[in-house]
Amino acid sequence: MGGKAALLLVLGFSSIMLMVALNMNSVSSMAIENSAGHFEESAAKEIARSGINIAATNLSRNSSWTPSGSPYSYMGTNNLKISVSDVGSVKIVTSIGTYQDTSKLIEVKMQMKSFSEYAYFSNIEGSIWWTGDDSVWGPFHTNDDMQVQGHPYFAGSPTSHAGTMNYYTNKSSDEPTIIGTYTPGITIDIPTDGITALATSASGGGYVFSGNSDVYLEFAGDSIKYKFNSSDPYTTVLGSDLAANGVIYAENADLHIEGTVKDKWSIGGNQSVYLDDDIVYSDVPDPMDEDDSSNDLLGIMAKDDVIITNNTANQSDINIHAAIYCEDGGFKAEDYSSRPTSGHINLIGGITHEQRGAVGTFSVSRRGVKTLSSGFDKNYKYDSRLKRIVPPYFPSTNTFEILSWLE
Amino acid sequence: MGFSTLLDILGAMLIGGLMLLTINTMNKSTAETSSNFHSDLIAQQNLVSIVQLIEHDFTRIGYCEDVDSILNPQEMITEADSTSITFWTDLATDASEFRGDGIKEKLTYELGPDIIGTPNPDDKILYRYKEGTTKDASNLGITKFALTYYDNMKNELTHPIDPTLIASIQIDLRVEDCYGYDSDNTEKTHEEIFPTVFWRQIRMATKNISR
Repeated sequence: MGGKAALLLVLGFSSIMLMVALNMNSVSSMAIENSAGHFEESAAKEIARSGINIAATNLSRNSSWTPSGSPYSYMGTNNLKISVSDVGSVKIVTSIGTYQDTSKLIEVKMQMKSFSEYAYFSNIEGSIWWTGDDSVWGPFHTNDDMQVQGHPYFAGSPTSHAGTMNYYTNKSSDEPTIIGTYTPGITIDIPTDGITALATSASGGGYVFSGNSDVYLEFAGDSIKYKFNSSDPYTTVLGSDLAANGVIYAENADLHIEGTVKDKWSIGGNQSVYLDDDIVYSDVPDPMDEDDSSNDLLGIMAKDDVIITNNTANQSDINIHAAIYCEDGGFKAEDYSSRPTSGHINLIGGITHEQRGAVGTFSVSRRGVKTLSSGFDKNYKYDSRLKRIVPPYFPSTNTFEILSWLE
Repeated sequence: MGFSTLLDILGAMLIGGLMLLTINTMNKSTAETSSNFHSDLIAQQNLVSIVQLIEHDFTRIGYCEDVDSILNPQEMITEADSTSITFWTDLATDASEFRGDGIKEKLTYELGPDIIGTPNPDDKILYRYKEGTTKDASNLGITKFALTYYDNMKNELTHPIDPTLIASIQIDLRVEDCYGYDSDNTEKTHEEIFPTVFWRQIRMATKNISR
């Protein structure tokens, strides 16, 4: 009797312990499943992100790239599907990563970027430093070193440079304030055929001036006046009759411009463009308002330089409303070191040039006060509308910017 | 009844008593271990759920399905503090939808005050709410939700935070069991009573900010 009771007791205890052990085992399994599930999701997401990176890299090299090898095998077999589609000017890249039984989708929308989006772009900075007095209120890029002194301010997005960040003294005393995206180490080439493309556009729906060494253009609202010698009288035509697509090109001639611009125009040539006087918009936009309703927009494009002419009209400030592009040269002031002090360059727009040019000279007192010795002081304001609208046929960077990232 | 019978009874009582004591100890130990296992599991499951939600929302800071409505990166985060953040995003109209509806909304994450009524003295509610809606939330045992912000030069931003300078965010999250086991036992440490799990996302750079 006692033996049976002992047996029952042992069996009973064993059953209870077995149930407890099973329960704990089940809890442990659930904890591991929970952890493994999260790991699988993370792994699938990383695979999908890799797919986006693969597509972005290939698209930066070839804008018409298609993922012909999809599905790819990455941490598995045929577990990375990439697709690229075009909706208008927007490219949509979709990447689906699968790990074990878990799949994750990432969709990225990209758009080709224009040089007109930049508040400042240069290929060569030379020995010029960005100082604490400088601020750039729009996208900034240089393919050179970024040389900073006394905390300059870069408020536009993105800010990028190819070379190193050089501090005048050290990082703590010179580090710039950068708002928004900052990407060091990338090179964006200025195209060699941007002006050629402008000539092609002018030939097909615009207007090409040829056979003269100089072309003088004055924008006068809806009309455009032109002549070929400074002493000649102007010929006036309706802008839309002269160049329906808004592109005017001066072939083998220096282009001299001034006036009040209405609607969207791109003007330039395979030599230099001279700014003989103010060139301003009819409806001046608020530079800070990206959605300003002004419909006026001007792109000034030169193979060589865009130069502020040394003349009487420009000896007391010059107002420039335009996105400026110099393929081989720079934006500069004529005789910058010998011309009289000429007030301010009041620019609303952006500057893209091969090499930064000079617009004036300064002396600095013992107290550190800067005084203009010749040429101009700078008062540059980025036209925020350039983030969303582009002057006709303004050159493209051949790089994509990400509009949105969905995962 | 002789002396030997008395000894038998006493021996049986002693053995029975020891057995009862053993069973009681084993029962207590089993209950504690089981409770700790379950508490660990619950805390871990809660953590994973919260982390998935945070990763989902934070990677979508600044996202909008309508490309014409996408903000500049410096405008995407509107308010930032050590335990709260408000940003623009595009929420789906239905939880089963992957994409947003193309309309931007302001979403806020905010750590609330301590919850009264649970044995855990540190648990708090993490609110997640859309601008213009009520702060609904459930207690998942969050005891820490800390945000640290960095600028483009990898410097930690100091308070008050300027949202326009944020380039990446570090998120610290600690989840504990709300009830624990043997919470009245003063000899046990807080961690022994309330199983704890911790998660840290080091410098999460949301893709839309760094686009």
